[in-house]
Amino acid sequence: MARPGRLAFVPARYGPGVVGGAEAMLGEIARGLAGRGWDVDVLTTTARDHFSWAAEFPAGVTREDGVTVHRFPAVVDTPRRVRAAINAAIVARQPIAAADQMAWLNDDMRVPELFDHLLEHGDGYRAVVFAPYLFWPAYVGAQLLGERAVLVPCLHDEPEARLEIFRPLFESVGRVWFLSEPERDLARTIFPALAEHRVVGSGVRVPDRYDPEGFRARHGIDGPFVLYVGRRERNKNWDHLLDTFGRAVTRSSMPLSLVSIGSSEISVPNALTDRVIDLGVVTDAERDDAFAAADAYVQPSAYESFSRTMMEAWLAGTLVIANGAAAVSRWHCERSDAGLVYDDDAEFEECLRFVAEAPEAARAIAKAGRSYAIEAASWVTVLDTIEADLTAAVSSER
Amino acid sequence: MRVLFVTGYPPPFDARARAAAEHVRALRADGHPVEVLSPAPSAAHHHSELGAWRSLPSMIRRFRRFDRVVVEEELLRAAPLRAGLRAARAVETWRAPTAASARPVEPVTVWPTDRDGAMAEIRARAGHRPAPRASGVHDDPGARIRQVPPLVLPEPTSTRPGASTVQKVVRRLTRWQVDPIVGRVNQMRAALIDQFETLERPDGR
Repeated sequence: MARPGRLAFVPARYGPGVVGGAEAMLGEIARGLAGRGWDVDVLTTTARDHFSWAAEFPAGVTREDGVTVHRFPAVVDTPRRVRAAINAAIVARQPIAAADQMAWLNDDMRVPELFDHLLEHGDGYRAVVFAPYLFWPAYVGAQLLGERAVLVPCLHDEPEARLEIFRPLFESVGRVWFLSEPERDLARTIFPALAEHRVVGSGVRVPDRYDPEGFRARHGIDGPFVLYVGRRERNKNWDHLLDTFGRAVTRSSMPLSLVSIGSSEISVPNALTDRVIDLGVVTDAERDDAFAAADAYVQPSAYESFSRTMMEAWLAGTLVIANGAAAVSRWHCERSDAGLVYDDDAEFEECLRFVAEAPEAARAIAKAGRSYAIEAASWVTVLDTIEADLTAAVSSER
Repeated sequence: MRVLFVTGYPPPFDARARAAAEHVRALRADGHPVEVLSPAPSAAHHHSELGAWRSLPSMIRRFRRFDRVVVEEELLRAAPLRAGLRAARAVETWRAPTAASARPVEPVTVWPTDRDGAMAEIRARAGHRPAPRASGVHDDPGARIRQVPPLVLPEPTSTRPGASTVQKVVRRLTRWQVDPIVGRVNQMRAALIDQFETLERPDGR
């Protein structure tokens, strides 16, 4: 049944090979709502990589999986020196003048043609959904459209969130959708005049089957291993994971390997080359099999607003070991009773030792995770909530 | 008619930039293809340091490609921009609507004719204004320090030929010494504001 009004979703990147939780989530919602009869546009850039922003998809309009995709060129025409200098001050939590904050925002990828599209056609959409809040398209587009904009911030407790330029963004949009209660609570703390908001959650696709033995055979993996899936970047604590994993397994002679899946080239120290297996970007099915084959999944990031990969690990019956610095990861582990949380390197090492010495116990603990993930990350529930919110917005406008 | 609009543009979304975006929308609605040139990177199609003489050649080349150049009046203070505009086929100035015209008008309240109603109205109105302090001190030191803007070093740009290059070199050479001082001054300002706000809170917390 057709739904009233057109919707637009604005991820900074969209399409095959794009790695990123916010982008994947927005794409799933867009296609899910299209499947339920909504007329859906995706407004995005021609980029696949969020460092270079190089044009890897053609600009223009295409029809993909039931949605109309408009791709606009991402413009990077400054040396980004201002951004780099101010970034250092942000990380050091130094006071930064508002004008410098704005210069920091604008000295990065910009999408003027997307701005033009929203300026001319924004009024034609029932709602336009932006994510995540840190990227230029969301910052600019959401404030341009105001009441018509829905922000899915994917907020973490990062220093950037405290910049005053983000206040008008969170306070002027029509509504804000959060992925979890801890994310909402954080936003309420930072933005006292937060716009109308609700927790809509996020979902994961439940695989029909897993092939853990096939995965091990395809990649020649014999012994026990822990898995990391995601962007291999400093922001996600990848470097720290590599470092602490190396020290732990070397000192304790644990027979564990680290299998890593995701974007960005990685550099493995010589001493760890026989312990770290880099698979790069793989298909969704191969990633699912990796989750099932692993003895544990490690979530080292301190900045999570939902953590799709933790859900995927639990669906596969695999134990999660999470950095307790991310309130959302801790929250999931405590609610599910299926994950271990560490607060320092020593605790992380003991988590690894547990997996190495008691794999059966690890499997037993992880068992509760599948039902938790199915309930907490159901796309049906997420889409029902979103449709109800959109319909309420439509009704209140009449 | 191909139009180049030279203006401050979002972000930030202040009244001036929003008005500029609305003007672009209006020009396009009239059928004109419009491109925007802003003095700093923004949602505009182009950006250029309008106050720097080194930008002049590129400005001239750009202006010649359009049938009309519309310039935000405030930007005309930049001499290189004024010089470049001599190469344009047609120039028009545009002024952002002033904030005064957008200021909301306070609703006129009709006063009640009975005493209780009048007193209620008086109290209601008084409640919207800060009450004088019981101590009789009418000065608000917190407000005064808040009115002092954070210390920001001036941009090393000058309309005089060559001056901005010298300014940039001086800025670069003294950055190691000056930047920590600026940071410390702003930290002290923030600490003072925090302190005053704590003191001004009724519960003193």
